[in-house]
Amino acid sequence: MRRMARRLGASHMRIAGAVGGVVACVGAGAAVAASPKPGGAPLTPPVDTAVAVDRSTPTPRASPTPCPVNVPGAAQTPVDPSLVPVLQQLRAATTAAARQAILRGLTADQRQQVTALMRRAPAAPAPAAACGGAQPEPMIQPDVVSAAPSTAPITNSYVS
Amino acid sequence: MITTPRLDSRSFTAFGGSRCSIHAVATPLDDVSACVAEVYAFEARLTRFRPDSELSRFNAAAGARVAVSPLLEELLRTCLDAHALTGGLVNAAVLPSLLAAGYDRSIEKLRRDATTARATVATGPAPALPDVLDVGDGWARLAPGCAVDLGGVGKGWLADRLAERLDNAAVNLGGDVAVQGDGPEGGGWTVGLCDRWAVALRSGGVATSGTTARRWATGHHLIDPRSGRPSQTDVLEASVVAADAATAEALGKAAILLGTCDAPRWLAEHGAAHWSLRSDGDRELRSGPA
Repeated sequence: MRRMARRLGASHMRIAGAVGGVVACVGAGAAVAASPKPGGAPLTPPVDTAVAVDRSTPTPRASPTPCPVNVPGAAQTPVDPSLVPVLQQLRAATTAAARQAILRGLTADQRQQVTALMRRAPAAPAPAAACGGAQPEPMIQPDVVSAAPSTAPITNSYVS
Repeated sequence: MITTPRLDSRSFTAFGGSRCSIHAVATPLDDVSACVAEVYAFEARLTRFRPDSELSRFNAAAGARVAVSPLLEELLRTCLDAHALTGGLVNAAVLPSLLAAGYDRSIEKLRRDATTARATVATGPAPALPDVLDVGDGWARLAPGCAVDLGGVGKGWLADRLAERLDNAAVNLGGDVAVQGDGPEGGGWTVGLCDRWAVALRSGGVATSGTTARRWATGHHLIDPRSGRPSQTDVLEASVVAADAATAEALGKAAILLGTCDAPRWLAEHGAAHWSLRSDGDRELRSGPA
């Protein structure tokens, strides 16, 4: 399939996809038109006013937050234009030292904004499993040691 | 450019008087200074104790869809992630309850003005964050009457980003610690926990939550969203090691709210690599995985 796509080229594939979409829509429409409406079915779905949603109680959420949907034409973030080339440079940088060199020219607030923007997925859609964030992170393997004087920790985690 | 020969440690105070430090190996001194500057820039933009901060203006605009900076957008999404990860136990929408509990000014002022601290007023359970917060590309909207506090999740997020950037460093922002790299001796970065043990890590985060700090005459800062009141728990402090500091912070807070019976199993199921729970004045310590 991939070889075929390469031979035909992107424009051919787009035309074929569009034709396929039209055929599928016509077929689905015909199927809907042919199916009889159930007797007594309402025109609009009923709303059960007796069921009130109690939002005062936190809902236990076992499932992750829904992935954001890319809506064509939706407003995009108004990124500070001066940061656009910086973002491009950072995305192209392959080492931490190179990224640091790029960030040195920015103010502290600009570095924060750029860092936040870099956390966003690039233009290509991310795989479904990568969004949401509710999945437990992959397990890391800490090396647990005694905090005896010879192994005094470099820093301490504490309640602040 | 001056580069640290071995280990450079920089200590400073931020986030309402919290002790912070950045420890870095073979890093240009200017880069460490730049990180400290970023901590202050982050605090100025996102503190709830300044009415002109972006977070305060966002809370004041509850009910309207408003433009937000990439940083605030990212942190609001992180709060939604923490809510989802913890089944709603970590809920940034507890701010009205926190204010009602008396935490309506910085902790330094609260301790100083102990006589004028308000008594806890019941607000009821906090609303689930996803029900009251919408976040889009460059905008966000809070439901009318709601307000959010980024709390420790914000500190953890920032510690993670700074440690990533410095490559071989440990960043401690008020007890939320993110580490990256082999450390000064090559065996990772050692981080002390609430039970006086330590972990050595090459990558990850450690956070300690508890009710032993940020206390005032009438309450403490750890609100249980199920009741909307300062938590009643048998865990005084919980240190959690996880893949990053923001996650460790969320897990630690949830462990406090769950208590000693439920927390260990829950932590094991939610990605904690190690934890220490301190309860009842040091008489009982639990750590895991068992």
